[in-house]
Amino acid sequence: MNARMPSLSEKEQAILELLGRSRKMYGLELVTASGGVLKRGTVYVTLGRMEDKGYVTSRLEEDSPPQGGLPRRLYQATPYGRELLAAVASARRRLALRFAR
Amino acid sequence: MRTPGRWLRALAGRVFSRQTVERVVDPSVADLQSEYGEARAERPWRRRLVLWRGYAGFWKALILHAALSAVAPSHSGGSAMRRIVSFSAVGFVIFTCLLVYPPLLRDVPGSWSRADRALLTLILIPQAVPLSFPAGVCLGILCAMRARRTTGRHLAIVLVVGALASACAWTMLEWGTPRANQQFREMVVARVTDGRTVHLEPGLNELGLSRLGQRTDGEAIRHYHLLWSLCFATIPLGVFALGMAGAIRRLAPAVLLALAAPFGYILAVMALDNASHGPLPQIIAAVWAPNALFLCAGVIALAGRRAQVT
Repeated sequence: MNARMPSLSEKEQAILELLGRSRKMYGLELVTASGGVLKRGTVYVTLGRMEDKGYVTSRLEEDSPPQGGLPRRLYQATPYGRELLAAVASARRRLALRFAR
Repeated sequence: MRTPGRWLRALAGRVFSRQTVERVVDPSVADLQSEYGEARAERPWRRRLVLWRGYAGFWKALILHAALSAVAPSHSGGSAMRRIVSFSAVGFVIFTCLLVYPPLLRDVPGSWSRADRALLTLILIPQAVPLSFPAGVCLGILCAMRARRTTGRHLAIVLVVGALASACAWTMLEWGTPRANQQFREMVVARVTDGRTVHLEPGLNELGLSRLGQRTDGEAIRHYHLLWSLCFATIPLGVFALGMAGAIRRLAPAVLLALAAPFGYILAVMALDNASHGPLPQIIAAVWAPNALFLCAGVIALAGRRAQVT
């Protein structure tokens, strides 16, 4: 079988769940909202990899921040990312039901 | 007020690809600037804390990104220089630690304070650098170039990296190592004599290359040529690593060979040490033989791989 199964790590899942709840978020917002699952030193590397895999898209914010500095990047889950998250969550639920004692 | 992170962004823009800058560098710097801007009205210690947290996040993201991209074998020719340099830098740090910490752990009595230990660590670094450069570059090339077809451009990159490392090793052997060795001796004597300052006449290990070159006794002449050959060790070990890298696919054998090659180089230096006494041509031949050996092995391996391809 040559087809490669898409994978979703714990951090990727946390990001997709957060992006599923509110549509667009900054990297730092994701870190704050994750309650310690995501760290500021790793979130952009994870988001970059997720962009490569097609789970999320990003764009620069249109208005520069009021306090000056570089515009921040806004992240959004793609339909593929949402679908994958739903599939993984459903598979986990089924596994939990099947093997829970 | 200055905007923090501007020079970091400019520096990263020169080292990393556009994609890395857009995805990792810019968002980290934007967070740093945004948080710092929001903390503008806060107390100075709070602003400083926000700033340091932002810088820590920035460096952590960059190190993680560099490590992850280095481990995954890439087949784009444009990244060869970056991969070799980043892997070599990691190798250099690893080998410097390997050369500095064992003597610290083994020889320093438990009664030494933390400050003394920190000073001793700094003093030991210069004597490790001339060895950790060739070893680090060897590791860098083997890991970065494994399973890749080597071209003339790759060889040119290795020669440039080798030349730069040789220049750094020379600088260290001329100024850094002699001073550090002398300071180490004085530090040890000061502890033995309860803090009295004692002037010690520098031995061979405490003389730079230019001062060693002025000496006419046999031992100094041998030491002088040995240090020169060590200065250039990065080039033969680099060529050897490049020649072998194409034949290695996995990371573990690449790391093993990267450990074995510098170890073999040092063994060859020690084995030829007895032969390096006598007339000048014999000394020169003996101290340069390990370099010649690794360079020849590398050239043969490179030629062999080229012949296989054509």
